[in-house]
Amino acid sequence: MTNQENIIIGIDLGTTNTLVACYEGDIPTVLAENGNAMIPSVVTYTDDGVLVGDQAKANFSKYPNTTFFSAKRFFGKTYSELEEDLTKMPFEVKGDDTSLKFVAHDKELSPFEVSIEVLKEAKNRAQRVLGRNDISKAVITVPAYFDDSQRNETKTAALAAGLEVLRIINEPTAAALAYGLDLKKEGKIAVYDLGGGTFDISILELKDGVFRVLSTNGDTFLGGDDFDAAIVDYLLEGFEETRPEVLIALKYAAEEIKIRLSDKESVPVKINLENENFSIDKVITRETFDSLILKKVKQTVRASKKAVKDAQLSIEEISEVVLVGGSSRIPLVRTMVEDFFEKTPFIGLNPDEVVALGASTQARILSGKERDLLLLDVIPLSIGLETLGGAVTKVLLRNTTIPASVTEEFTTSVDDQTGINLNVYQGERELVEDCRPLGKFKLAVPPMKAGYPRVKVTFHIDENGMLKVDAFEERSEQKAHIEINPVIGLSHKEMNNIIKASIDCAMDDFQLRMIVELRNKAERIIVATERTYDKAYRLMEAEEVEEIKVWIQKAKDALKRGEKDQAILEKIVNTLGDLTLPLADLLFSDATKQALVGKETSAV
Amino acid sequence: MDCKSCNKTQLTPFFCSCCNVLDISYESSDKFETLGLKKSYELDKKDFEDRYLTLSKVTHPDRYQDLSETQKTKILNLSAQINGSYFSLKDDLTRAQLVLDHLISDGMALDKKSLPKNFLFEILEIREEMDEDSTDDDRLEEIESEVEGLRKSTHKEIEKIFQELTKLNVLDTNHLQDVQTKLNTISYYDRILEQIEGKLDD
Repeated sequence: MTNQENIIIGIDLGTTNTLVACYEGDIPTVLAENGNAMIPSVVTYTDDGVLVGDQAKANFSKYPNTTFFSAKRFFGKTYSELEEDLTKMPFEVKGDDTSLKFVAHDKELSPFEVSIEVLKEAKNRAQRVLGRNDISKAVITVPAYFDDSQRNETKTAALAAGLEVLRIINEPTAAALAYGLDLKKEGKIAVYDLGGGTFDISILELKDGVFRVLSTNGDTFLGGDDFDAAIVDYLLEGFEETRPEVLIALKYAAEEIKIRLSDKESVPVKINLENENFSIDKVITRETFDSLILKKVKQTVRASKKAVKDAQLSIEEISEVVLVGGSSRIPLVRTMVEDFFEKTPFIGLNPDEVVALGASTQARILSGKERDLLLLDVIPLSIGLETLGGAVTKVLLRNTTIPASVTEEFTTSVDDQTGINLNVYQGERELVEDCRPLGKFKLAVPPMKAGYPRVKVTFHIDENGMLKVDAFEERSEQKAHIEINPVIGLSHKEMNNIIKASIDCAMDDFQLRMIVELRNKAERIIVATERTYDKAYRLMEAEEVEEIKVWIQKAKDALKRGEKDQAILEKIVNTLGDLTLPLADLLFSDATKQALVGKETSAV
Repeated sequence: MDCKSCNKTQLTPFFCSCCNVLDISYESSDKFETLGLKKSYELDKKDFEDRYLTLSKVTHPDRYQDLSETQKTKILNLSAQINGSYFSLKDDLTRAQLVLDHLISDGMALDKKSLPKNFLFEILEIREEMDEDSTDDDRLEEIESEVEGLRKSTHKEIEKIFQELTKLNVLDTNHLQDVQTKLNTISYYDRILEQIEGKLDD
């Protein structure tokens, strides 16, 4: 290989903090600067530019209404959905029942545009710590309970930050991966993940190196932010307070108080904002705090109960409970989790870091360096179609292992009908109004007698948990390409514009990256294919092998002359990809024979 | 099906576990065939799980980062097909129905919609109870466990019929019709249970 080893980073894009990790040798490691691994997920827009992370957090008092935090909580949400929760935000939020925007000076920003800045910082941190300038690939984690539009926005944000997302994985699954490696044992484990903004519970089975998610449940709007808000409410005692300066100061004070209450029975609260003529002098006890958050914590236990039931297990069958996320440090949370699962939670790894570590392990699996492990994840919510009378018929049930696909047949109800409307929803309830609209599309049908067309619609969920739809009319053999247009948030076009804008100025840089990428790919194919030549002769016709050899030579020549034309490189890589299709299993088996005979379980 | 290179019986029609040859273009709507199993209700649970894990390891898209787009789509479809087959066959009742469907398509005369006498009245009664007490969570939970009980005993009865059939070693139409009838009642129970869950979530 001529290039340095290709590094894929793992990123935990958190509501409150973001972490980035990668492998150093054989060990997953979080990338820290000045001893600090956490990048606060905070972005400040100033007249002179954008501040991110620690810098933004340190200067919040200077820019109280253009400092945005917890952007992730707003992914895929609409203004109408969150209206009540927005009154206490120090920054201005706009929108209606299909959108939500942050307002910074004269600009309106989607929540995920704010996250682009955080992801850029994560990427830059990785480049600085690793001393590289070519980090361009990542595995990014999302709450298991994120729906399709929220996953899409995460992916878009990363792309705009110059990171190709090789995989989106669920946070609790990532945590399980990290813990599974650490625990070195098999069995059924529950991952209780209570972070800054979201709660997830996942039940997994670990066997022979396979991490299989059995069920997942959660709430994308329940976490430390709610506990902070409860403290703020308590401190204000029902007082209407709308000054951004006060609200943001209180928010960060509440965060401090909450953290300190994890090992103290009571905490004195002294806040004095002279400029705002605002002061508080109080003591808050752990008992008070517990009573403020009890209802929310109970909600997490209810969700845990559902997850155990969906996994078709009894509590006794769960051998380990692991805690993830900063909010899992709260004593009340620990007690209630312990009571419900009837066992002491295992806390071997830093709950803040474990998700990023797991993401880096998945990155390693994708890089092909880790062949003994495999993650089998599920979709968190059922996917259904609107039928007559506003009812939803489920086509894919929640907790279905991915990748998954299902085909449904449709026809027309009147003569010469030229289209069938399909509305896709996500959720568990029976009625459209209680589920979340994912997208709608119209299938073009050639005019025929009613009931005559046979349209087969296939729903695919890929390995990232994202939906694609194909349609095929059997009578006319017409294929339909369906693009699901999100009902909520930005359309594909708007998203593309944002990505374009963010990379336009760096277009040359982008193209160069593509070319480097293609060259790496060609190199890998050459090495892998040449290894299988003797076997290839047994498996394929001699002419076919000769054809492969011709293209391998073309690839070598192209690399030698430092080919810069993207189209030529693409042609070579794709042709070789197709030609070596029959060899794919050989390439594969070489590396995995060990894993298949199951000798490596001790390494799990 | 025998493997072309080693002549041994393949694990499934698309994969030889002996020489690790994989045909990623394989497509079949036959879930038993996909997993290399014979079409029967009996299932060796351990072999079934092992098969699934092995096939998942061989076909998961994670293993194929460097393939072309067409190849990736194929692997994605194959992997989805394996997951779909596994989860259908893992469920006793779905597996039972698939066995019956195969027999019907082979020409066995079974009435697919049969229900026990008076069954619909029983269901209507349960529904009435549900609607009467639709806001009383405790009562709803009571009905829920009642219906769960009915479902469970029906499941056991089906299991028993299949055991008997294995003993007799014949495909007796009367017995199988009985299974179909019982399977039909289960779908009514499932619908009720789903609705109760919805009401409890409100």
